[in-house]
Amino acid sequence: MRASILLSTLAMALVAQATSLTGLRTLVLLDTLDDVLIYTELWSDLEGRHFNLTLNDVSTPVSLTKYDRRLYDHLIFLAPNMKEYPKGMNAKEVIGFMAEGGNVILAGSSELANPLRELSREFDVEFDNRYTSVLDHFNYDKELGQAKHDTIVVDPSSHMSKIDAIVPQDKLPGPILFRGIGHSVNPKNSLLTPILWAPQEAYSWESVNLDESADQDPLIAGKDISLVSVMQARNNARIAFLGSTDMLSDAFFSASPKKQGDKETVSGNRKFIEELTKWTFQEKSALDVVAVQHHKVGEEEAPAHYRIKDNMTYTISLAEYHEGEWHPFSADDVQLELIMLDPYVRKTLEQLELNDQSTVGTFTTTLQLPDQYGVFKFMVNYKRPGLTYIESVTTVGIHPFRHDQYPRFISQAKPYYTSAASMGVGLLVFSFVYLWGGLDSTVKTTKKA
Amino acid sequence: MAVISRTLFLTLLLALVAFLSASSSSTSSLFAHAQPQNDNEALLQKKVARLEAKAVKNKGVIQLDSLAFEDVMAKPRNYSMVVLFTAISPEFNCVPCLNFDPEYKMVAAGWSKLANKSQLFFSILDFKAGQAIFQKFGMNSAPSVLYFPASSSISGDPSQDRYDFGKSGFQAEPFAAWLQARSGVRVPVQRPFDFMGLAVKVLGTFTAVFSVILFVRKGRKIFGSKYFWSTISMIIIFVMISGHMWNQIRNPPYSMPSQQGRSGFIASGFQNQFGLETQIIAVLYSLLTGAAIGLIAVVPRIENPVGQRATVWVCMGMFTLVFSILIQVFKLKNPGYPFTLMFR
Amino acid sequence: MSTESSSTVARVLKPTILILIAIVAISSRLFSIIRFESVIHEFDPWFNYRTTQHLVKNGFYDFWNWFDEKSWYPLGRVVGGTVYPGIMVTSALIHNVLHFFNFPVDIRNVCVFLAPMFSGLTAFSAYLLTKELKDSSAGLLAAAFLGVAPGYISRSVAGSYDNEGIAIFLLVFTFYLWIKAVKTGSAFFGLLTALFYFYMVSAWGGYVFITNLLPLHAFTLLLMGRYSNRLYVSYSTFCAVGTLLSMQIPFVGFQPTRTSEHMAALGVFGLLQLYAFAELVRGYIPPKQFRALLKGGIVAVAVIASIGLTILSFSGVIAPFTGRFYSLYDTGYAKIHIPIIASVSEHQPTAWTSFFFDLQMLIFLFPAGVYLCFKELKDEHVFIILYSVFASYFAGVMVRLMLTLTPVVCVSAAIAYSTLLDTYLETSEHVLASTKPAIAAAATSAPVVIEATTSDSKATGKKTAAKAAAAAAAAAKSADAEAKTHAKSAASSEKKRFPIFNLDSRLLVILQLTWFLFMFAWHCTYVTSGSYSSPSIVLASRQQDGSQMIIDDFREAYYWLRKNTKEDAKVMSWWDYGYQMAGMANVTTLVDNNTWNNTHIATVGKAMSTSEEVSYKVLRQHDVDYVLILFGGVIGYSGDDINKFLWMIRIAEGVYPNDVKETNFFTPRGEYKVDHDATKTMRESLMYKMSYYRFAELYGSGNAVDHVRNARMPAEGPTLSVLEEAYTTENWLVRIYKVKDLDILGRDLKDSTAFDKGRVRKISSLKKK
Repeated sequence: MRASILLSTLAMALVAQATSLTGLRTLVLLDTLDDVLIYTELWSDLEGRHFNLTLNDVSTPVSLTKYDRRLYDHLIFLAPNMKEYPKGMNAKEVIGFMAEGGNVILAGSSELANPLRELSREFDVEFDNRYTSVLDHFNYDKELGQAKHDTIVVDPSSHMSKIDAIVPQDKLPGPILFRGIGHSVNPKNSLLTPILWAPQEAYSWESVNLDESADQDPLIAGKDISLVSVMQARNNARIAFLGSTDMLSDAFFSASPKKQGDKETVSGNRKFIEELTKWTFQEKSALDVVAVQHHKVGEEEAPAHYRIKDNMTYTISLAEYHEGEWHPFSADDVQLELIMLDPYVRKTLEQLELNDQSTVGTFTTTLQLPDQYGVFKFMVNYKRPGLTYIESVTTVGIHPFRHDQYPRFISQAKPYYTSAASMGVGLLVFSFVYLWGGLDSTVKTTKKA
Repeated sequence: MAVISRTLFLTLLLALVAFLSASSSSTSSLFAHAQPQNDNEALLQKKVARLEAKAVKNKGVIQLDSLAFEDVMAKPRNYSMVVLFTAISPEFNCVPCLNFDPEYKMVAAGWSKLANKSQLFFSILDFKAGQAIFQKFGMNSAPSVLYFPASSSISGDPSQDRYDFGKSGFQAEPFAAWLQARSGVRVPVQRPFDFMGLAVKVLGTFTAVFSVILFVRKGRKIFGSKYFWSTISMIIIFVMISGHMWNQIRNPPYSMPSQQGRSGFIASGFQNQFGLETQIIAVLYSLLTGAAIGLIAVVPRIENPVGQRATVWVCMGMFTLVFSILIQVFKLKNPGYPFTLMFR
Repeated sequence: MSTESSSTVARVLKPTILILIAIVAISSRLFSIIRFESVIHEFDPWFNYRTTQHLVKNGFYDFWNWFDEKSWYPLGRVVGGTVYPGIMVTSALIHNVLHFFNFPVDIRNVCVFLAPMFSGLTAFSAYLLTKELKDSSAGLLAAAFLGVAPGYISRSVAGSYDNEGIAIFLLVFTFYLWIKAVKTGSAFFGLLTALFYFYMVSAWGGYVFITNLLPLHAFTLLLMGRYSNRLYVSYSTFCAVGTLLSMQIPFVGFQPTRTSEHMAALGVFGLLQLYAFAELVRGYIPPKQFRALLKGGIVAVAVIASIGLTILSFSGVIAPFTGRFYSLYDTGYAKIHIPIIASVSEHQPTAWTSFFFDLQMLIFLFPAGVYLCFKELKDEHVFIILYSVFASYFAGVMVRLMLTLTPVVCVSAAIAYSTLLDTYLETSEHVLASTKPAIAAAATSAPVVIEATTSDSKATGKKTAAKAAAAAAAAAKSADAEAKTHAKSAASSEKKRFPIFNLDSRLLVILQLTWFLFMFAWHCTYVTSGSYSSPSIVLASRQQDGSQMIIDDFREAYYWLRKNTKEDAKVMSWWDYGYQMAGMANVTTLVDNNTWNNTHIATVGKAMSTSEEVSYKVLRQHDVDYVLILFGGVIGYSGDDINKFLWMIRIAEGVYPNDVKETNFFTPRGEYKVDHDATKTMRESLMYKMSYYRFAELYGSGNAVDHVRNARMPAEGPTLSVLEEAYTTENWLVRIYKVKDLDILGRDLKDSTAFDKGRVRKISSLKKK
């Protein structure tokens, strides 16, 4: 506790602009408070971004929520050895915490204990057995991984996902050092994205007593070993899984990785972690629907309902959050769907020109409604890895013609009009003649009888 | 969905089995890899032959009793069985049984004309012959048709499936279609050309023509007479208001063997009735109406006061009596009904 | 005609009696209100009520083009084009008139009391009709009978705000006008008939009965050689105007010229024209040539007509019979082909008990009345005969068509009854005038024509006198034809009639009949109060100590929905409750009692009858927020969804034969079980799970008993993962479930529910090898 206060006061002194969208209260769980000193760089980075950290060890009881409100906005597990959750906390709590919108970073190591395994299992992330770690006899680091070849040097250009929304390639000064446990992700889970994976030659094996010969194949090897992967839950809460706590340590931050046979470089870990935490704590690539407008062509405000085959305009404005403020979001693949059970119309929205004082990206299109009445959903369903899921639904009824909106006189019916008219006229004439025309009806009828 | 795929698979299997066993003995021995014992195989052959003989003898239908049933059903079976559980004998007076029997036989006959008839055998198990089996399968209603695919055990497992009369009706065609779905072979149903029907038609046309001629001739006498029409419409009305249409649609049994206490020809339950019941009601109605008409039309025609008085008393008496009987009958159907006329 | 009309007493009595009858008719329909409260009953009335509210609120134009987004989500329903607006317009009119005179009556009360009010009118029109047939005393009897006959009360108690409520009045009154028109042969009455026919068309689908009966009547008269200018004028007026008017109802549209149900009317219309033309021609050319001409003409017309009809019907211009209508003829048809119709209880055939229950003694006086109609076979009697024959057939086929039978039963029973009274009360010969010997009967038509002419000249002034005279002449000619037939028919019945000599026989009959009348009255009251006055949304049951228990779960549930769900919440339920939910809970429904889209209903059936995984897709695709079901297992309410389940399955199987199989819901023994030996499919179906979810907990361990199926349920009930229980009413009659959202972590809901129950995933399949 004391440590945390100290650090947070220190943090106030620092100045930086980037802040998280969801909040700043961050809880860090450590195996023991002594570990605080391992990650001082990380602390200063985070404090530099205005997070106020609460550093706890697993023995101190803690509660994530109170009165159904989150007490923290972010949660960092740096406690791989945690045998059981601190008092007042459990897996359900953590997932509830995420359901409330909290973000989580979960860092493991080869001693990763059961609770966190089970937790990550719920996210379709499966860490390898205990005491295994990712080994590589080709890409190990010269000094850190000399002994066991367990500190591997990962080349971002080839082994990191190309999603710039999460960790942009070009920001990294050099390769990434990794020492710890590997995990595999369930490819079926579309919310889950591997960020960093092991080189082709790597494999995951018990790092203790390496001397004795292997009697079986490793469970996972090569590219199947995910080192870092992230998930953005359906409610846009974010979580990152790291196979190693060391990635975050000062040692790795300041290390200068050197692979077998090539020259030293500067470690990319610090930058990588910074970007990763920025993403996870919603400091960037967070989208928001600022406004949705739809109206008939030539009108201004939205009608209560449309009529079939109306021409209408749909506009949606999106903004993106980074560096602590909202910027106009720009993309060319935002699509609009008109759905009634099935999509009737699917159209790509085109973006209006951005000028310097525009704060939102405005996407718009004009279309003709289908010739089908019913209750339609105007849906923009924009889900891209790394970005906040956009799912904007506007429900609007499309009505058929009213009885007086059909054309009154149609040319095909001319003959009928004329016939009807002539009939009427004929009747008039006839009755006139019959009544006053002087022809004697009685005579006729008597004749008939 | 598992069940469906299962049945599909079974049907395929059956088709294969049928093809193999039908084509020649060598192939069927090939089939016999399922059961390695050769004597078993031979035994099977014998059984099939025996059954075929039976079937041929009896236009494709095999009459079974409990023992025969067990024997036929006993594994190994490379043929599938269709068993009609029925109760033909009159004391059950099971109307649908009687209705369905000819249709069933028709389909069987149609099958027995096919090439691979040893794939599937039609059999009838009458309640009298095989009560044990009825109990074994928990049959509490007849008729019902069970289909046993080849080499499946006969305990009440789902691989036997049941023909749904409620949905498909008692006609031969839907039944054949149902069989086709199981056995994968379409069963030709040619109804025997019924000369009766033809005769009726011819006669009908003749009568029609004749009546038309008659109508042209002295039609005004018959068709002009209102008594002709009045009788017709009266009959229609009586038939309808005595709920005959209900019988037409629901076709209930004509009557039941009377249980203790309640008579056998009045169905229990408000929305339920027997064939006989409606006729009774119709008669009651017509009696009542007749009495009324008598009071209206007959009485004033009688000249001597004594006769008139007598008629009045008789008519009125009958009217009251029948009315109270009717109410009693109604009370049987609707015990809560509070009113009575003569009987308590 | 009758004795009373002469005496002045009768002049005072008749109106009084009629008013009293109306009062009785109305007050005998108020049981439900006295017992419960002034509420709308059952299902369809709730829709009518809702639409009426809409009409009153937004005016006629908006109602006419109303597109209802809250029903049949997401398809929506064009209400304006798919309703018979008659009843709504009527009550809206009444409401507005009352408000114009500053009677602040709530529209609900107008709706609740509409049917009883109209029953009074129905009684009156029955009086008029019977008066035309026999005399005013018979008329009064008929009015009394129809006023209290349960067969009619069943659909017109206070609160059952349904089309039939006013339709029966319109039916009877239209028939009255028609008979009046045929008797007088005045175009005026023909026009009135057409107008009321139009009203009827706007009010009830049963108008088809009229469109077929009137032409049939005309046709029969034609066959009987009773063609007369009266018939010609009245029918032509009716048919022309009536057809044109009926096409103004959007729901009917062009049917009168296209569907086969309406062809009869047009056919007879054409035939009449031809016949009239033939009559005209006959007047000008010698008989010999005329006969030849006639033969040729008939053949030609027949050929042309048949060819034309076949071509039209094959080219699809004339549609074949619609399903509901067809099921009237081929009675087995519906059961096999259209389960959606067969599933409706109103469409079941009628057992004899229902006839007796609804009409007690009338049912056997009715044929006597028909017989009397035959005795004096005037045109109007022919009509009654036809009406009775066909109505009794239809009533036999469908329970709900009891309604169309009831009026004619009352009328002809009244005829029979009053003839009895006449015979046994009358001292003079006078009464027997109605059944005079043949010669008089033969002559009848001529005087009728004369009075027609007089009425004509009265109506339209001198100018038409000439025309009327012509008509008279023509009719006089046709009269001799009639005379012949009459002579033949009546010759046999030419006997002398005597009065009843003995007092005792008079007394006996009269007293008995009076007694029967009492019994009839008691019966009607008993039936009405006992069976026909419960507003099926509030149930009343007696406990063993005899005290009454009110079960108000439906309204409880609907109220909960109204108060606790979003404005646009979509609630799925079986279609029976669609109207009530829309009306009471004001939520968006997927399907309702207007079963216009079989596929949509089948989809709901599929969602109910498949496993959670399958149905969850359907639920999400239709944006369903809540699912509402009825479960009677606790209090033994037999009309619950498990008992309707088979129909859901059948209807679903009709559209999705691969997903739903009826046979899988039956045990190998072919039984429909819900307890231990329920089939796997049954136990996994959503409906079963929703019904019995946490049902076992209600009782001790392992002795949960379903009181409807009286089945002993398994100790551990089903588990739900895609739904969560939202609300269950006091007696468990209605259960509402909320549809869960997708899991935020992308697990399938079964796992997430398991996790929430504290079960963590075991070493999962994620590990390769």
